[in-house]
Amino acid sequence: MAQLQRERVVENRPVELIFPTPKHINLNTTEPLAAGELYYSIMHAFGTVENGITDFWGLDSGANIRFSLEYGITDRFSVFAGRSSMDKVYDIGFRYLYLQQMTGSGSPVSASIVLTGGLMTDDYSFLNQSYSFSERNQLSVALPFSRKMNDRFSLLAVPMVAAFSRTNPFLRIKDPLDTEEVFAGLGLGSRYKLNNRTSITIQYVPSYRFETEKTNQNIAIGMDFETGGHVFQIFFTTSRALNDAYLLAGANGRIDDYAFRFGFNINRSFVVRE
Amino acid sequence: MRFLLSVFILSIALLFGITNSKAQTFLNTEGYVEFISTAPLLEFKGISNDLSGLINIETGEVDFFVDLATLDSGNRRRDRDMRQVYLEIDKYPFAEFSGLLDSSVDLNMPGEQNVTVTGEFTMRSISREMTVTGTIQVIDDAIRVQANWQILLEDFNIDRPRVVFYELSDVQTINIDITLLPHEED
Repeated sequence: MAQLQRERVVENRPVELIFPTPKHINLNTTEPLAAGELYYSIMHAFGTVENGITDFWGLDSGANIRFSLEYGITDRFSVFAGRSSMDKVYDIGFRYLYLQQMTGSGSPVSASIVLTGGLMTDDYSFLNQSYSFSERNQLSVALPFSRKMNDRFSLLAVPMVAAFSRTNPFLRIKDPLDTEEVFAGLGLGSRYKLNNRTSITIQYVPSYRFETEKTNQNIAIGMDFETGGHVFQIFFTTSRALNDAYLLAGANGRIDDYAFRFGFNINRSFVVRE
Repeated sequence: MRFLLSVFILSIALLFGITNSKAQTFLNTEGYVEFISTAPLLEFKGISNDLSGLINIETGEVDFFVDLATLDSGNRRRDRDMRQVYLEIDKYPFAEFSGLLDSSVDLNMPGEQNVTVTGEFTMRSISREMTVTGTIQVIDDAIRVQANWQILLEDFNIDRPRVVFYELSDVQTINIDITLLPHEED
């Protein structure tokens, strides 16, 4: 029977959905929004699970919650605003995809830059501390690189730097010497797709304190559930932090103490402009 | 003997002349195809202008396919979901329809002729037998083919979100419009 030769029109295509959402547990991914896409995310991290049913594995401790809205200006550039309940931090920033992994010739990885400016608005008058506006600022830069190794397996590496205009031993930013203001770390993440809708996820974020020469370590393991409109991410993590700056500088439970916390993210995308 | 040979050669020449006077195979690789999803709250189309098609009028053979990577729904987010989550184009690049014309086509007849084709529609390596009705119109040397039919995503094992949202309809209407040009077979 006469048949046309089956040939792809486009052999060299962008590798899409390396990670399904702009957030992978806590880390920023390279996943760009589409122009006209509105992305809503709400992230939670509860108390530690170690007390068992007494505080219902940390759920009674309340959660640190970050909700954010992000809007795609172009297919590579988006802007966002968010708020985390821990330290009442408001943040704004942008995400830009400057390198796109291709199926054929071209870049073997995707790479983005995410710049975030934050403002801590918590009231510390009870500590007899007064914080001026300029002492409440935070800035963080994340440079996610990602690669889809195959249909199921994706890798993520995120060099990150965060700077605080002021830190303090009494704050959530544990800094016993009260001198450290710049933190750097390397976030590592991966996901393995069990099927089209379910993945196992892992994140490891060692962050280095220059003055104390100590490394703070965050580890999280979880699962992604994609339902079509939503991506649900549930995980156990050692950190209560939900934004880049606190992820690097904030306290982390010790892994050998089983200081894990339950957390989950809900990600939702809307097409608001065709 | 020489006379007979001349007649034989003449007959062969005539025979070729007649069969070549009108091409029997028509094809093009730049046809239009749209997949329309009509859900209660949302209708959208995935459109491609890279539909390839072939019809052999003599044998009645019909063959169409489209590279699903070329489908464009007008929004990158939806395109990504469509290509990666629903169609999985890296594994299953094409949607295809191959079959046979149920009746003959008269290339000398002006205007539209109704045709039906029975064949197999294949997507994601799953083939479903179906009969598609459409029209053929002879325009100069070319023939314009228009057809529409419906498929169920369920039939092609497409994992459609059901629990939370009903944004993607199970019923997809496919419209094609392609002008096939005469093609001399090698």
